[in-house]
Amino acid sequence: MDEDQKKQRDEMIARANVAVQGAAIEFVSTLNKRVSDLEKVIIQNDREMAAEMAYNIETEASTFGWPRVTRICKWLRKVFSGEFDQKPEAEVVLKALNALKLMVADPDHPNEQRDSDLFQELYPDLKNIVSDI
Amino acid sequence: MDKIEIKDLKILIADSNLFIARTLFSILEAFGVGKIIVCETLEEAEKQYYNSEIDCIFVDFMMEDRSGLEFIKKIRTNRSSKNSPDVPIILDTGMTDRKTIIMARDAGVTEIISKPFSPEQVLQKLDNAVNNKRDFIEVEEFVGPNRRRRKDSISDWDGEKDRRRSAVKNNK
Repeated sequence: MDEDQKKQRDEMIARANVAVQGAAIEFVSTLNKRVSDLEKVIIQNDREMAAEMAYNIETEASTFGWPRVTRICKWLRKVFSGEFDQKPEAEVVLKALNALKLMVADPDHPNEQRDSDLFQELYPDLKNIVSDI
Repeated sequence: MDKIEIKDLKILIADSNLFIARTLFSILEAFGVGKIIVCETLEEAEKQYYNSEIDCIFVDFMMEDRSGLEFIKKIRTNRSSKNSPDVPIILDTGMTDRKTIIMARDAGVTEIISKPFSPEQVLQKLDNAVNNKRDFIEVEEFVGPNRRRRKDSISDWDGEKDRRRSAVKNNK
C-alpha cells in the first residue's frame, strides 16, 4: 500500500469512527427503554422474543463498549434460547435482570465501580447456569 | 481481476436489528460505498438480491431464528438471480463459538465478522471478500468459496494428481 492509499484508508476509517460515535450516543439514549422492554417480554414469558431482544442488546452493547451489559444479555439470551448447562431458577433470572436495570438506569453517567462489584457478585450464579459467558 | 473501487460497490445489509444495520450503513457510507440497501427481513433481502445487482452481502446469523444460513445456502445454489452465486457474503454475528463458525463455513460464507465490529475490521473484511476472492467450489456436498485460504504449491498435488481441480470453477 503506497502513502496515498494509506492516507485515503486512514481518512475513511476516521470518518467511519465519527459515524460510530454518533450511533453510540443514540444507543445510550435508548438503552434504558430497551432493557425495560426486555423485562416486559420476560414477564410475559415470551422466550423466543426475550432471546432475540437480549441478543440485540448484547451485540449493540458490545459494539458501543458496555461489557457487563453485554455479558448479562448474553447470559439471558442463552437462558431463553435453551443453551444452558443447568436449568435456571427464576430467582437468578430476576437477580440478573435487576442488575441489568441498575447498570442502565442512568446510562449518561455510568458507575463503573458499582457495575463491576455487582457483576462480580452475580458471576458465580450466572456461571453455574451458563458456563460460557 | 481489477480491484473494485469502493465507490462502485453495491452492498446489501440484511439484519433484523435495525440499530446495528444502521451503524453498519453509517460505516459503509463513511467509506464512500456507492449504494447500500438495508433489509430488515430475509424475505425483503431475497427480493432485493434477485432484482438488484449486488457486489457483497452482510447478513446476521441470528436473523429470524437462524434462517440467515438458509438464505446463504439459497444464494449459493440458485441461478435465477442477476447476481453470480459466488457473490461475497460476510456473516456478522455476535456468536463466535466453534459450532457457529463451522455452520457458517459449511453454508458458504466468504468472511465472518464478529460483533462488536470496528470500522477497521469492516474495511478489512470487505476488501478481502471483494478484492481477494477465493476459488469457488461447486460439489454435491458443498457450494461456496474454497475453505483453503493459502494457495500453497504442493508438488505432489499438482497437475493430474490434484483431484480438487475438477471441482474448482476459477472465477478470475
